[in-house]
Amino acid sequence: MRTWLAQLRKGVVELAVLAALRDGEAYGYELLQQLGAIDALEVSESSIYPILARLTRDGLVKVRAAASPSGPPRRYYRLTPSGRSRLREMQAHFDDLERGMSRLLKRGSP
Amino acid sequence: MNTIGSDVRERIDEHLDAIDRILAAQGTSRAERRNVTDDVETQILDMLAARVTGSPALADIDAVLAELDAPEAFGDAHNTNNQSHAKQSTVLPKSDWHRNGTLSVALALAAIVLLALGLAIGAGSLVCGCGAFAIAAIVCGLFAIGTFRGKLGTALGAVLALVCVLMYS
Repeated sequence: MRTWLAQLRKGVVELAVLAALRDGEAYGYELLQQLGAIDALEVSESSIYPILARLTRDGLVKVRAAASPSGPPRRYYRLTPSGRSRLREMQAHFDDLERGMSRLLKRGSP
Repeated sequence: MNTIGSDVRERIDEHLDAIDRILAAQGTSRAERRNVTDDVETQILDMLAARVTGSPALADIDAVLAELDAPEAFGDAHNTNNQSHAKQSTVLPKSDWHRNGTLSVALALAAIVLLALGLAIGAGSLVCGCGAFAIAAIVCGLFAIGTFRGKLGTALGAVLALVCVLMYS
């Protein structure tokens, strides 16, 4: 994969994970399927699960284990207050970036 | 899905162990490795359950594993994320300078006002008011340090906190 594209995607996956958890909890595979629907992100388990583990370590998400019909307990993730605060901060930066880039790209478009 | 046979279980464990080894080589803690492999295991079992209703065969688990990332992909993803995390925690983005600088100056000013009040009250009643204002001034000074990690914020906050500690003692 082209390096710049991989870097661009990696930069927004954490924001995407936090945003996906904004309205409620979800387990890892559920999140993967939800974010997998965004074609441009091209997420996979090797990108999502390490991010979830890191967000858990940093106290931005909390984990709750619940029984699963298919095997071991599912681990449901939900945002902590710190996670919500991080999401607001990241979203503000993303919005600024999006506005700035849109202006820049439109200026150069034919 | 019915019970998983030992041969299928072995195939799953091989995949999870390979991921664990890759993450361990990157210096990932045991707790984080466990979190990642637990999530992968849940995904594998969910995918198997969606694929077969009875006991899965080796062909089923091989087909599921073929859809997943190779264990090596976890090393690359984790390493990159840790690097970006380390940068994020030590370098303050320029866009934050103005906001954090303003907050830092406001906190530093609050510390100065509290310090002056503490000294004024302390002159009349050395025991009662002085200590409370000094503690509040220390808190403001420390917040000023934490809010803005540049040279000016650190120096101002540290000096204020030091003065307040000396005054309180």
